[in-house]
Amino acid sequence: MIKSLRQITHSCSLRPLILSIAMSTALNAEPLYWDRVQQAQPDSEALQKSEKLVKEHKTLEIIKRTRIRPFHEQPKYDKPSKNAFCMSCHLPLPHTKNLRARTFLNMHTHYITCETCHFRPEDVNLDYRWFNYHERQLQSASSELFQVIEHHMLLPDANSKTMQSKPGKQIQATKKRDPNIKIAPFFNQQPVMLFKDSTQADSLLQQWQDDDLQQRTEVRAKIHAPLESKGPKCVACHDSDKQMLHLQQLGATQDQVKAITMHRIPLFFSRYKEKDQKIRIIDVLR
Amino acid sequence: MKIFRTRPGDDIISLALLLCALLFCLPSTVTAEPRKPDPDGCLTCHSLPGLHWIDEDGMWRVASIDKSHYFSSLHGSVPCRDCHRKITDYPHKVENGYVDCSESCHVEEPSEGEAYTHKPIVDEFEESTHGKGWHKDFAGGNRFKELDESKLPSCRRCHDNALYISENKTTLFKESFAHTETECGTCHVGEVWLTQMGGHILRRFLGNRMNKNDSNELCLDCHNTPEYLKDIELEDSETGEKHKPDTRWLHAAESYQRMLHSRLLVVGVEDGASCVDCHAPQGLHHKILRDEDEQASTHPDNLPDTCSASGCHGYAKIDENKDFVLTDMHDTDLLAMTLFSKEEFNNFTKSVWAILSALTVPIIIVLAIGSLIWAFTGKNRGLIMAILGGEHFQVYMAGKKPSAKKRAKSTTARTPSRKSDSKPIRKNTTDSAETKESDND
Repeated sequence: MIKSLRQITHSCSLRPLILSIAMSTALNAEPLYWDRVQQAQPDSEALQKSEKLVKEHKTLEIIKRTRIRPFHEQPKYDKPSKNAFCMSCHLPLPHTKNLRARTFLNMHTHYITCETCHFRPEDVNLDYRWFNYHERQLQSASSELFQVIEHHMLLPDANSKTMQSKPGKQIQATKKRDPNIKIAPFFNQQPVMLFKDSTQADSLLQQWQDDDLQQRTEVRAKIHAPLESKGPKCVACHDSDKQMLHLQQLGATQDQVKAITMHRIPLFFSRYKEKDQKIRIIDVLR
Repeated sequence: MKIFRTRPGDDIISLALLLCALLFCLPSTVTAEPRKPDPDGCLTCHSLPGLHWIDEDGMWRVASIDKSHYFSSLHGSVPCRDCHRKITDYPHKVENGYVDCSESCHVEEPSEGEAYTHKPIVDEFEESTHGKGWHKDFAGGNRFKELDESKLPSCRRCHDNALYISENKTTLFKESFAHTETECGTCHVGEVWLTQMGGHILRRFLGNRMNKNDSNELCLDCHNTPEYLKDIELEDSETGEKHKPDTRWLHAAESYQRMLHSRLLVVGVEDGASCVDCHAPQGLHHKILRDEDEQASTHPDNLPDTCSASGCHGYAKIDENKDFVLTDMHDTDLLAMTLFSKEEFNNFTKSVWAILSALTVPIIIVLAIGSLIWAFTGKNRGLIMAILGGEHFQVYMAGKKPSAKKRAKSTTARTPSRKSDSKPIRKNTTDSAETKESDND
């Protein structure tokens, strides 16, 4: 039945509605991620690593304003949604260490859930859909849910010899995105992720708050066992041949698909072959 | 002094028309090259919204720049690497992005063709009492370091990359800008002239980008927060000795705000005096010196010149008015005591004000307590008269008859030998009853 339902949902314009109905009927089932957490049996190496990280963990007080203001005007941007289970422990901007990619990865957290990149079980096929964290329901696919992309981000045409970035014409009018709407993985028409205020999350947090090192180590190891510490490479989405996400199905227009898959920055990043490599920034225009 | 006023728009339009008329006489047309604000492609990344991260100090950092604001800003024609000079690679090395405001950039000053620089301002700033503040090595990540190292102002503490045409002058600018195409466009052809250069020239006609209130805001940002300033050490300009600031210095902003100089500006009268008008009227307005410094515009010897400058108090230079300029512009007597810290309060207790207050307050308290007691307990009593002179007042001012006692005393004083006269005694009794009735009424 699920197979036939999936066929219908893939082929008709009523897909969001049908998926929503299917989701509501399947809500009694446990999210796939939670199933995997319960099944996880971390080995000693994973436990050792977990213990080390639990011991080293420090709570960081986030400072948003200082007496000295930033010199440049910054674009207005909403805070990322905090309803994700991961945000119970992780910072709202979770990528801090990777000097090269951290800002770009944090930018993606505004429209992609953590699980989209870090929960990729090999034994199941996941669907990726827009999900509204605030309303806890599927969001209809729409081009307006994509970040505004401008022409100058596109790679230059083969005939173009220009080296200069131009302001360019916008593909669509600037519209404020709802930061609660993100691309999320689905399994059997149900989102795979946990929510911060779910009963499962509460039980995990209860164990954590008991403040027992061994218990915390085990909880942490189990939570992270189904996850991959590194997400997919940029080209997994920013390449017309290797699309992990079906952009058109998510509502992207042809121009947006082109802009995403031929974006200058992922191409620039693909030139890095070593961890500490530095590349001339002028090359971003080449 | 009579002040002639015209609407600012009239000045601008007249000057613009005059300029265009002069340019109209030139026989040939002039074009200009378009600017290339991002030749290095920095905004390819930095114009993306959401480039945020939290650094090791916990500071929420933002690498995104509002591109449209940047192109409309004071530095909108300045390529990023003119300031962040050593950045060539990605990931950037933090030190390579350090900004030195005294460096020159690739924007050329049109008449001389020289590279533009803020160096003259930095030089002046370095000579000022703020001169040890930062003017280079600026990066977004070392704002904490600057705050830890120095409480002195720096370029970036007072200035950000503001809009080229400030918001309060946008309407006026747009009105004036409409003329460039019709008048100036005869000679100055091309979109670049009509937009960039036209804007550049008209901006000059709009006058100072900041008005007096705007410039005061910069000063008050620090000087209006005594809590922030109380720990700094001031250096004596002659001896070099360091000492803590006194009450007068700490609350200079507060006392200024109570004077006419400030209050005129607050209600929108530009004839008021801003901080800079008195403390840095000359040059590029960054050479602020302590009053004790002989070069300071606020040194007593220089006050006649300072007060009479810009048509403010022209008579201040006349010898007969020399005391006028010594009027204390930061009088601590105007301050509310609630503003004082404990230490400041201790200093205040030694002043004449405090001593007089100490003498007066107990009296006020006694009177207040007496009034309270009277209010609760004294309502049903008869007329109360002052101990001294009360009856005298009643008789001669209120027209009441004197009391028997008084009358007897008065009669006795007049005829001490007539002991057997009984009439006055009877009358006294009656009078006394009348007085009581009258009192009871």
